[in-house]
This record gives sequence, C-alpha cells and structure tokens, in this order.
Amino acid sequence: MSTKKSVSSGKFAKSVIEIWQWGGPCQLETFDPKPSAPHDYNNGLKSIKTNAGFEIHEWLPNLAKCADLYSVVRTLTHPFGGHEKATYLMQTGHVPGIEPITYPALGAIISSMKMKDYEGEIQPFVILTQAKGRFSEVGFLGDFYAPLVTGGNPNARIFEVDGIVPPGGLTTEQINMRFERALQFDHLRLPKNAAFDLAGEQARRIITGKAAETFDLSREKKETRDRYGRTFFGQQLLAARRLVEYGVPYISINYNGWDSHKRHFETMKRPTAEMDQAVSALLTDLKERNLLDSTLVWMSGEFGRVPKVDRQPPWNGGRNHFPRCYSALVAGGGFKGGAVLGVSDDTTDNVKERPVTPVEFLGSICELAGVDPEGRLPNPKGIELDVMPLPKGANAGHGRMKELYA
Amino acid sequence: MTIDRREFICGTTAFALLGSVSAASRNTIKAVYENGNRASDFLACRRLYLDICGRIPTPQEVRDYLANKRGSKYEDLIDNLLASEDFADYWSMRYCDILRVKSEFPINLWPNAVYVYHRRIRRSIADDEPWIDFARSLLCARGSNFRVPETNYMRATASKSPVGLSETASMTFLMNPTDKYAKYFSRVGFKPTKEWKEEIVYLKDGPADLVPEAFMNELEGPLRAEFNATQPKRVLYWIFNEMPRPMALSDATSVFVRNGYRLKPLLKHIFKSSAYRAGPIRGKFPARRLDAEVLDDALCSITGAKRDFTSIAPEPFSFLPPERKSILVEDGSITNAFMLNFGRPARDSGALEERKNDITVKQRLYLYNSSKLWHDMSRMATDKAFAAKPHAVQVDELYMKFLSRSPVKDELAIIDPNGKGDIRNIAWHLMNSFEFLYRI
Repeated sequence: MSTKKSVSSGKFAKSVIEIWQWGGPCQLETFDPKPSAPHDYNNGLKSIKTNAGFEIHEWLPNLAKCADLYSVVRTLTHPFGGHEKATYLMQTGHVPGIEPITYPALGAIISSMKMKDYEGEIQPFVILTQAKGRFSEVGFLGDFYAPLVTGGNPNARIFEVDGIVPPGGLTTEQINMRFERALQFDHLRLPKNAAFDLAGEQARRIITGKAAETFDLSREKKETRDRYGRTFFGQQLLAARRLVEYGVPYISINYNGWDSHKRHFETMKRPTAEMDQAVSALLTDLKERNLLDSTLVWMSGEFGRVPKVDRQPPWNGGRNHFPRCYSALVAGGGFKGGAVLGVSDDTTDNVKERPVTPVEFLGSICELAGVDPEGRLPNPKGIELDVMPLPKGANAGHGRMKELYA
Repeated sequence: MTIDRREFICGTTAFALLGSVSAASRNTIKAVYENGNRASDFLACRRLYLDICGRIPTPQEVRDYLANKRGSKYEDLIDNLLASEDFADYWSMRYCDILRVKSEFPINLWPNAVYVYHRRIRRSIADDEPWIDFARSLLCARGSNFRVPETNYMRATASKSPVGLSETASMTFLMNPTDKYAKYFSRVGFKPTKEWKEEIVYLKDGPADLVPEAFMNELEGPLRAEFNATQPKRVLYWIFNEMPRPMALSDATSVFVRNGYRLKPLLKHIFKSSAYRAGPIRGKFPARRLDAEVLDDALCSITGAKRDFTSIAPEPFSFLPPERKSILVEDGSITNAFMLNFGRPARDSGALEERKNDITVKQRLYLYNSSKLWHDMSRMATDKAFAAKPHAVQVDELYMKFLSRSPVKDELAIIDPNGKGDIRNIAWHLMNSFEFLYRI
C-alpha cells in the first residue's frame, strides 16, 4: 500500500483563501515592526504585543488579539523590484523571462489539481472581484481552468456576480420559462453543436441552483456582516468564507491599494485598519465554525517596501518597492498559529536568519493543500514540468517552511 | 427598401416542434440557411462581413445585398470589403496576435512601441504588402524601436537570448519553434537610450554570416517550402477553424506564392471556393464562435453600450475612448473581463492556439445572466426612437441586428407568442442563440 496521502483523505486543506495585497504592503507597518529603529524607518510609531507573544504593528490591534490563529513569515526575499516580474515569481514560483512559456499561478495549479474531488457548480477557482490582469492567471493550463472573476461589489445591497446572480429581479419561474423557450428556439439552430448545448445546460444549473445563493450575503446575520466591516474588502472576505463553505478549492482576493509610493503613513492607516478588522474576523469566524483546520489562509504581496522613508518630493514620506526582506501571514489548513519564521535585521533592510524564497513559500502551501510541489504539472503540451521549481541537490536549502507546519 | 421575404418565410410549424422535426419541415428550415448546397444569401453576406471586416453587417448592408440583382454581387462584395478600413483593422488584429503585440509581461514592448508597431502592421495589411517583404523587414530591422517600427519584432519576445529569438522567429515564419537557428541571432543586441523605454536593436561584433539576414536567406532558400506554406496555413485555420488538410494547403500555398505572397488574392480565392460557400447543414460548413473582440463589438453596436478598456499598468494609465472598436485595441495587455472570458489571446507566444474560440460554461453564464448586458438591453429598449416604433418593427429590427435576417413566423410563436412580449426578453433569446454567437 502506498504511504502517500491522497488529496481526498481529509488530511489536507480543502480550501485555500489567498489575500493578495497588490502593490506590496509595508512589512514595517504590518508584521515586522521596528519601534527602536530611527524615526525615518518607523515615523515614531510603535508595536503591540500579540496574545501569542510576538510583536506586530500598533495599527493591527484586532490581529494582535488572535495571533494564536496565524503565523508570520518575516523573511520572504527575492531580487525583483518591478510589479509584474515580482508578481509572476510570487504567484507561479518561476523566475520570469527565462522560459518562453507562461506558468499558471498558484490558484490555477491548486484548483486544477483538486478539480477531480470537487463537485460544485461554481468554478473551482474564484477571484474576488477583479483579475490581477498583468499576466494570465492560468498560464498555459488554458481557458478550462480559468477563474471565475466575480466583478460586482460585495458591499452593495445585491452582490451582482456577473453571470451567476440573475439581474433585473427575475423570479426563478421567469428564468425557467426563458430557458424552456430558449431550448425550443435553439433546437433548430443547425448545425447542432454538442459543446454549446452542454455548456448551456451547466450554466442553467448554476443559475437556478445553490451557486447563486452562495453569493447572497444578505443571508448572513447583520452582526456577522458588521464584524468583517462594512467595507469592500471586509465583505469580500465574508464572501470568501461562504465560498469555502460551498467547497470552492481556491479563492483569491485581489486586494488593491498597497503601492504607497507617496505619503505612506497618511494613506496606509485606513486600509491597514480595514485589513486588521476583516482578516481577524475571517480567522476567528473560520475557527468558530470549525473550518480553520481545513482552510488555508495566506496573505502577502509581491514585495515589501523600502524601510527608510523617502521624505523628498515627489514622494513626500513615501516608500518604494522592496523585495529583499518582506512579510506574509499564513493560517490554518495545516499551518500552526502563534509562530514567527525568520528574523530580519534592525531595520528590515536585510534578512538576518532563515531567508524564505517565494518558491519555498508557495511549495509549502501546495503541500499542505495536498498538491505535491515536487510532482508533475499536467499541461496541454505534454511536456514534463514540475509543480514548483524547487531547487535540488546542494542548493535545496530548506525546501519548505516545515517550521510552521502544525 | 424591403427585405426579400422569400428568404425567410417558411410557413411551417417546424420551429415550434421539439425533438421530432419531420423530414419535410427540416427541408423548409434548411431553406432559410441554404440554397441548394450553398449558404443562402443573407448567410453568405454575413459570413463575408464577419470574416473580412470582423463585424456583423448592418441591417441596411444586408438589405442592400439582398436587393442587389447583379450576378456578380458576391464577388463584388468581396472586393468592396477587402478594400475597406474594417478589413485592415480586423486582419491587423489577427497579425498582432501572431506577432505578439502587447506592452506588458512577458513581452514588454511598452506602450509607445506597441502603437508604432501596430501601425506598421496595419499598413502592411492595408497596402497588401507581400509577406516575404514584410518578413525581411521585420527580421532585418535595426535602430530605435520608436523610429524604426519593425525593430519591435525582435523585442516582442519573452526571451531575447539567441535561443529565444530563434524560437520566436521559427514560430512566426515556420510555425515550428526551434532553437536550431540561434546562431543567426547571436549578434542581435538591445541597448537603452535616455528616452524612457526607447531601445536600440543593433548588431554586436561577430562573423558576417551570423546575422538575421542569413536566417531570411534560409527561409527563401532551403526552408522555402515550409515558409511558403506557413501563412496560408494560418489563413485557412482562421477561416475554417481547423488545421487545413494537405490538399487545401498546397492549393492555397500555390495561389499565395503565384500572387506574390499577397494576402488579398489568397482571401479572394478562398472566399470564392465552393468549400467556403457551402451551407451550414448539407454543406457542413464549420461553425466558429465569434472572436471575443468581434462579439464585444457586435453587442455594443446592437445595444449602443460603451466599451470599457483601461490599463493601470504600466503607468501612466491608459484610457481608450469608449467608441473605440474592440478589434482595434492595439495592445494585448489592455483588456477587460469580457475579453478574458471569451478567449482573446494573451499574445505571449504567437501560437494560433492562444486564441480560444470554443464555448465555455462561463461564457454561457455571462450571456444568459449578465447584469451588464441586461442593463444594456434595457437602455436599448427604452431608447426614444426605438420605443416609438410598433412592436413588430422592433422585433424585425432586432432580428436584423442580431441575425442579419427577419424572423420566421414559427420562431415568433415560441419567443413572442402573443406579439407583445418584453423586447428585452426577445433580445435575450437572440443573443443566446447559436446562430448569433457563431459564424455559421
């Protein structure tokens, strides 16, 4: 008998929630504060102690109360200072510009590999609410694995997920009537095309089935909605939790607004507070619903920000891109809580101990989600490709973030 | 001008029957789409507009065509459309797919270069420049990518190493990526200038015979047979939606070469062929789902909706005028959710397969149920001039706009049984029909 665990054995994370902080959040004002560094590094702001003992930034009071539910990586590092190359690396694990093919992002990899164990009618890969756009998220895997990009505003009265939630207030009866007529009407559209009919039938089931309900946030209690914060981001995380309950294997939230080149401290305080409320609500909600063990949550951006604030115009107290040492949050789904991986120096200018590469970071998420990062990646070209290009032999390094495995 | 109703009125109940269409009824249905084994007039006209101009004909254009009594009207239409601006717009979109015109990752042409390169490609199509001359100008260009548009060919690749350039060039001109010709690109160098994102393509020192010109000479010499067949193969694929059989390919190749490697004579030859003029039923003409851009343009022109293209990357942000046709969006990096959903190619590799014309659940979901489309159709239905017309005229107009024909009586029995149905519902049925979504 094989000793390898299978995806369906239940020992792996069933769902993954990715919170992608597009633009690159600052490590200092999140999970790697340096209150004793010079003023130009921290603007005089302090840190607070979490319930797990380690320190995070004072802008995150709610996350400080539930640090037993998540762990922090403080030493992610890579050499790419431009958004697109850094995003590509941090999403696919592959160094950009070397091979003439475009690799799929983590969400497409995990959802495509878990597809066979998923019976839902919503696509196994959902993006709230806009695609990353700078590169194709499915890469060479092809359109079949493309994510559902919801569009719409989860904080609006009706979260209109284009295509799934019926517009114009149509009743189920009216919708069914339409489909019946459409069937008759289209019956004579010759020549027949089986793929067209099949796709139509499946689409109809989604519209008239449970899928649309999943996006109906009005089914949540008022207190629950308030707990996540009545913000675009907060309600996105609530929608993500509902998608986890539905069974969707991979949910990605593209969370814009972290590219704080100018007036960093003035612009980042509010979004950081929003994030603090929503992420802490998500983690505690998942825990209360007994879903945290089976749901892996990770949050990071493509890089961090330059530790020393640039006071000169046009930046006026801004921070530029900084890939050399930055942070991430991981929780649930096989990661333990309350731990810190890696140590940065006194300013976060450099990694002091235990550098973590993007491929190692993504490889660990794959492994905990039941996708062997050293396995092969099925592809339409039929070439032999690794799930993650983990370094081998003498350069293998740690390979995974085993220190954070539960 | 009135439409020739004989084309469409069948006078049977065939359209109302489900699953058990009698042989007699089937023949009447066929008469809508076929005339003998050939596509019927409205269908032939619609096909030519879709394949040459990348758009559905306007109701007036269809009426003009049907009213035209000249024996040569089909050939005349081909000539007229091939001379139109729309032709250059649509076919430059196809060429930009294979030449990887996009500003961002992994190609990184950057916006200025995208626009000069696109303009150069469009001129090549409009002037019907011989492919062999175009190929040479792309491979042998040197200088600034802003001033010499052709230099962007060499820049438009994910890997600018000799191996990467060899794979790209053999992909473009032979449809067979290989590193075999890396030596011919070993001297190609790229250097920046003080102008933002300007780049000079130049030759580094080295042996005189290891230059891209030598690769071009191989294309014209030992690789000639493959080179000659490459572009005809693509053209046939684009039109028939499948890789051509050897016979069809050798026929098209000889026409192409005999006509000095020009696209238009080849297209004329194809459009006049019996394979292309075959009806969709007996003739088994292959259906093709409309390209993402073509479908978007069709929906926007029918409902009057504005297009939505912005690009936040790279800075400075790009905004396109809302009336810009989707087929004319030069930059493959400027996109939107509709384009992604309907399979517009990423333009990463230049492979034909990057463009997806198959139908997916997500696409049908969108068309069935999109709130945007519903709002667009609501706006169309409440448009003052439109709302003032009698119901039957409105329905006829919708049919002409969506399907390029008038309704058949028995279709209306299904989707407009009492003759006063919600116009948005009727539009919904037409928009979701195979006949609209495919070039049949």
